[in-house]
Amino acid sequence: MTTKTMPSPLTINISEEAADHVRVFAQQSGKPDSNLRVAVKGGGCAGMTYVLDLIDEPREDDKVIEEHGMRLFVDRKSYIFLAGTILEYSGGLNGKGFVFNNPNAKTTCGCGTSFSV
Amino acid sequence: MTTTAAPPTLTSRLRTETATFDMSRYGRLIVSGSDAIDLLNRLSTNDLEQLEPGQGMSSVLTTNKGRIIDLLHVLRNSNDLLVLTSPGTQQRVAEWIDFYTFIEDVSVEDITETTSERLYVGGDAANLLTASGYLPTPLNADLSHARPEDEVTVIRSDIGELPAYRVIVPADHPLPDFGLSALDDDRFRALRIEQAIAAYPAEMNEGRNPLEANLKPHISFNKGCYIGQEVVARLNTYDRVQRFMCRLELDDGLAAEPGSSIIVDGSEVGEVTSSAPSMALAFLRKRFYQDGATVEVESNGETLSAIVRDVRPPEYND
Repeated sequence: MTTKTMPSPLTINISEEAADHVRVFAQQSGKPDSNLRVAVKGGGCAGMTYVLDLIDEPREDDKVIEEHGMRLFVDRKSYIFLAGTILEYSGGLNGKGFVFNNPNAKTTCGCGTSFSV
Repeated sequence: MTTTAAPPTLTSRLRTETATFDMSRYGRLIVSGSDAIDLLNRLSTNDLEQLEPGQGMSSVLTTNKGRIIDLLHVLRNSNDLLVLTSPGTQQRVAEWIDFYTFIEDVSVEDITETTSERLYVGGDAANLLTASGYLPTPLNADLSHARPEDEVTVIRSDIGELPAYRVIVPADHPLPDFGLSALDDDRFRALRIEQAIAAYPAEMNEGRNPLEANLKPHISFNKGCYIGQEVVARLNTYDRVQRFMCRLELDDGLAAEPGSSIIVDGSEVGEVTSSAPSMALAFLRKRFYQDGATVEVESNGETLSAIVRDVRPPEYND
């Protein structure tokens, strides 16, 4: 019997594969030392859209999460809608790229980039 | 889809005469910050990114189910946006914008109480405002605006086919009435029914989508995502709108109360939403939406006969 470690609902997790892909992307973008902003913005069909961005430093009120050698910066308001999320990577020919498994999302739009709570 | 009826009375008069209407209780917000247009563009139906300073555009604020929160008139100034809302909706609109503001540089100021506003509508409105110094030169485009003084904003905001200007000033700044007749709420409602203009909350509310309220001219179908876009696009693409707003014409002086049922062959096929003597706005199921058709309206225990007028804008011919 294997025991699956459930992520804490009070944080945001990034999978190892997703962290690796962020690092590859950062290298290709010429920003190998950058960190990852994970955020939400208003808009998108369902109401809120996920945002990923490579940045250098956190903002003053950002929550900083470190996992698999990757530092995630999350602003306080986005965090309310992202707590418990696991950022994963779906690769392969049919893959979707970065995927937010967000337990707060009640509905998502057809393309999966926006959600409502 | 043009109406074949004789021109209604108030509209005919205002082609040559001019009247005023106190719009102070309509909502006025200043939305500022470097991300203001980008955020409003993500929250509403029209392509606000196209706006240049001095230009304005109407855009529908929609829920994620594609239902109407309000029709906004967004006017771009050099440093901020002036957003005009329906009466009493400004707080809801401000809260909606605030809810969806995350790390964006956007702030909202409600100036409804600190400003007053008057509408001048009719054929001579531009001349009156120009002669009095409120307007440097007549504005040609609908929702264009000018600020001849820092504290005065003049907006061309036509009422259907009638030229009209909204003038916004500080609350303690008296606005002239030029001796014009003032429209009260009943006559202004009659005017907007004649011109088939939807209003909040009668025709625009969270039970309606913008396509059925004849707001298609204020929707961009190629601007990209906004809240509710998927639903609105699907309704349009697959022709899934179930009902449209129409105007009903009744016999002289008769009025159908809002909420009255529209009956065809014993079945309810629509509902009256706004009413004035001899006419009404109503939502009618698509199958029965035909210009010139006769329907029955059950109002206050009476059955009235009414003629349906197709008042959808040309965009519905696409």
